[in-house]
Amino acid sequence: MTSARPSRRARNGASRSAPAVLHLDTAVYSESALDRTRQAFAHLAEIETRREGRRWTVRFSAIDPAVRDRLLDEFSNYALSCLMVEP
Amino acid sequence: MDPKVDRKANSVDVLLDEGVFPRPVGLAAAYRFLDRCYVLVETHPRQRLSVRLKGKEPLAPAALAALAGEFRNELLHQLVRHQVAERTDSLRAAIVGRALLSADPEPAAEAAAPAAASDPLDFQDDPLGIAVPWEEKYGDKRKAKQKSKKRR
Repeated sequence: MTSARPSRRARNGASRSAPAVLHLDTAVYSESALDRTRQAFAHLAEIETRREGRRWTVRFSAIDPAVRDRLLDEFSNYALSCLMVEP
Repeated sequence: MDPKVDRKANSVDVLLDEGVFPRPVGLAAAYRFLDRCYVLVETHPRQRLSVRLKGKEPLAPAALAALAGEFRNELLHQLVRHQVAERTDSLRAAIVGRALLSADPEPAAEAAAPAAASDPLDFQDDPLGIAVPWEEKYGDKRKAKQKSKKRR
């Protein structure tokens, strides 16, 4: 007997594959703050940061579906806190 | 500096003039809101700073406007803190410097008695002969003078 419903792992894999992009101002967010944030969130997604002109482009892929809705917002909050604690 | 409520995005944008509120002030105020909402800060032309406050839970437009009002209050609070910190910078440096100096026993002892540290003399030494009795110092000379007068 086979089920038409995909396994949980397959579903997770499907949702993990959808990328998301966050743009942050380079005049506000420092590279070290972004690096620390990226390390802190590394277990939730694959994160790639790149400087494009006056913006940091932060690309998220393989996002953990449990945090998908708020990952970008939490990332920017954490980056701001890193900026304040240790610029 | 009117806040712009975006109901669909569940957020409110506040635009700051960096000439009035320097960037550290804006960032410090934004930092205070991290536990209540999602904050995104961006620079704009003509020295303007945009702060987007996005509710962690769905908020009514009135609540978003109130959030912006609280943020403005916090801006003033942080501005005063910033100005007081600038004004008392040298005083705080002096107090901390003095506290650190007194916490270290060796420099404190040197500061308390700098002359004693450089002076090799003991307290019993008397290079000017102040402690010498008068008789010892001049007594023999006077006797000698009296003897010479008698001889004449």
